[in-house]
Amino acid sequence: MAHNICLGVEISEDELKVALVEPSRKHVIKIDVLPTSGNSISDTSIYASVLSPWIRSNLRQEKNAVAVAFPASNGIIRLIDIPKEMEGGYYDYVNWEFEHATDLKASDYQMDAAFYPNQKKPERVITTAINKKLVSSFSSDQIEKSGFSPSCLIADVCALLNIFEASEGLGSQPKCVLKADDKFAVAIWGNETGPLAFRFLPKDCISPKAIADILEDGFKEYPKAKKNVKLCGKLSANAQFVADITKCAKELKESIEVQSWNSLSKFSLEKGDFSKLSQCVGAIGATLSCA
Amino acid sequence: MIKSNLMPSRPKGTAAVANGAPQALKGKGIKIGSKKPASKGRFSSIVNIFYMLVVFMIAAVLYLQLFGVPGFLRGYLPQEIIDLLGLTEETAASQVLREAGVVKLTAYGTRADDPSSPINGTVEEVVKTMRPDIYITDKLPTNYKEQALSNRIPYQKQAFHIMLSTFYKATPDGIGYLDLAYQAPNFYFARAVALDSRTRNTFLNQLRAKVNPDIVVRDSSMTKDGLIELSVLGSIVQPDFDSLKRMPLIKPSRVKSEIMALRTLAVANQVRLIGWEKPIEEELETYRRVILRTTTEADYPSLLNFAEALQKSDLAFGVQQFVSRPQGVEKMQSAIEFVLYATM
Repeated sequence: MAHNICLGVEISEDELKVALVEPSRKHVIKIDVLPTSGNSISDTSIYASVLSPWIRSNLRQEKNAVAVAFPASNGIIRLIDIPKEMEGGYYDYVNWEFEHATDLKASDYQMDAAFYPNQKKPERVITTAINKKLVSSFSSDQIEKSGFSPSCLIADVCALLNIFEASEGLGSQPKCVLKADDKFAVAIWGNETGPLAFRFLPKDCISPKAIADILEDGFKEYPKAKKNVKLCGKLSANAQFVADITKCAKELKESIEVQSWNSLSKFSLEKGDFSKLSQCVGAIGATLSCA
Repeated sequence: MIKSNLMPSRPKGTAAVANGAPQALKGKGIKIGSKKPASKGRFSSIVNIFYMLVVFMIAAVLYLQLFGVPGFLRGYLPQEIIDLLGLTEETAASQVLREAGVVKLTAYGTRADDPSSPINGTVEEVVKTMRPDIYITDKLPTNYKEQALSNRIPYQKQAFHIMLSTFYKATPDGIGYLDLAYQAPNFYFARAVALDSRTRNTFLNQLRAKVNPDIVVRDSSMTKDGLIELSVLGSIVQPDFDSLKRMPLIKPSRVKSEIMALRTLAVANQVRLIGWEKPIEEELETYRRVILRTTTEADYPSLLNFAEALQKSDLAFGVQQFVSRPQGVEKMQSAIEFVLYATM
């Protein structure tokens, strides 16, 4: 029986994390981490040339769609509260807020907004934006011909929260996901009503202690939340880093338990090597947008 | 589930399937229903439905033009249709809000080096309005101007104590002050009289060792009895920014209790303040500033003790100016200008 297969690609500075998933069955076929040999992935021709050989050797069936998760550091992610006084024109507000708060032309950016708890009377909105040039490069003839033009382009933080919801489930209490790469770290809190908060760390500040501090700071807003954090990203493969951050988080005034995200409870995995799962959850999360 | 997609929708038929692409990469494409000959009866019913739709559309357009977008449809109609029909989803209330600039309450700052920050609590912290390339956490504020208002009060309290303490320790016997002034953040000015040039040099050497190197010394005059009048100005050593205890802006309702607490602290250190009952309140754009202009005849050691107690306390008052002059032969009179920042 043929199933819809989606190729999820999570882009980072110097590698691609890929996942072949049947999102409708929540079945993960294959994951991998593909180095880009030092080439910046903002050159999308690299993206296609890295993916082509891998997909040829790994895909036996047809894939139906490609979903790409781009790193928060390559775009603009904003979680904004909507003024209570507003009764409509929310998209206008998002555009207005974007231009005033970032000093960037909204027209230069491909923007998307998701309203919470609902679009009719939203209380907050998550806006993601990425330069139109990059978006159009993903739609270029070259990428189209290679068959890797994505049907969905989503921020990694959104993809992570989606996969977290799909695998662990989200209730009324906020839960936290931490993605730590060499050059960027981000912690996301969300519950059943949607994303609640972000904390970011730029590359020069990344250390186990600094990350533990942003976790502590974030959890201060949610004193009743269970202080468990799922760790993913490139640094989750670094055993020393994981040990250090686990130690730092435990030594906090109110200790936080940090665990590598190396299992997806509501997903089935095909036989094979899934040791890099914690690095590839963003790619798996991206495929949920194909469903 | 965050439903987000930044890929613009593509015209039908161009999806995935591309000539020349490897077989394994080809998508299924979009199914377009196969053409089947329709019977006459079926054709006429389709035509009827089409006409009904046209009538319905005209009626809907007329309704929207006359009465505007009804409340239950706001947020659901595509923006293109709204623009095409020249409508607006904005209600009268939100239009007033927008024109009045109320939405500006959500953020402050419009440049890349001036990231958005909350002003009055109507929005969440900066962490919720993140833009990575302007989020410069590794750049710690290193001077007073870069400090948030909430950091300036503890800064002033420490700086005021450092200034008094510096001059207390640097002043040898044989030096008398005609003016001794401190101005926030860390500027000082002193006009002093030295008994002789040796005392003058001792004083200056001791002072130079304790203040920043930007010291300016001017010998104003020498009196016929050999006294030397000199002026010094410059900046004292800055307080340690890391040790500053952050102090949130207080609520306006707490201003009176803060004034009482300040008075109590002063009395406990033998400093009797006059003028504390007449605070000057200024409503600035985003915060409220309360200034207390007081005077006291307390002696220098008492003032020093008071400054030390003030910097250790949680009082929300800082000192933005201090000027001390002799009054008579033995006494001195000091004017101290306290400042407090409160929310609107």
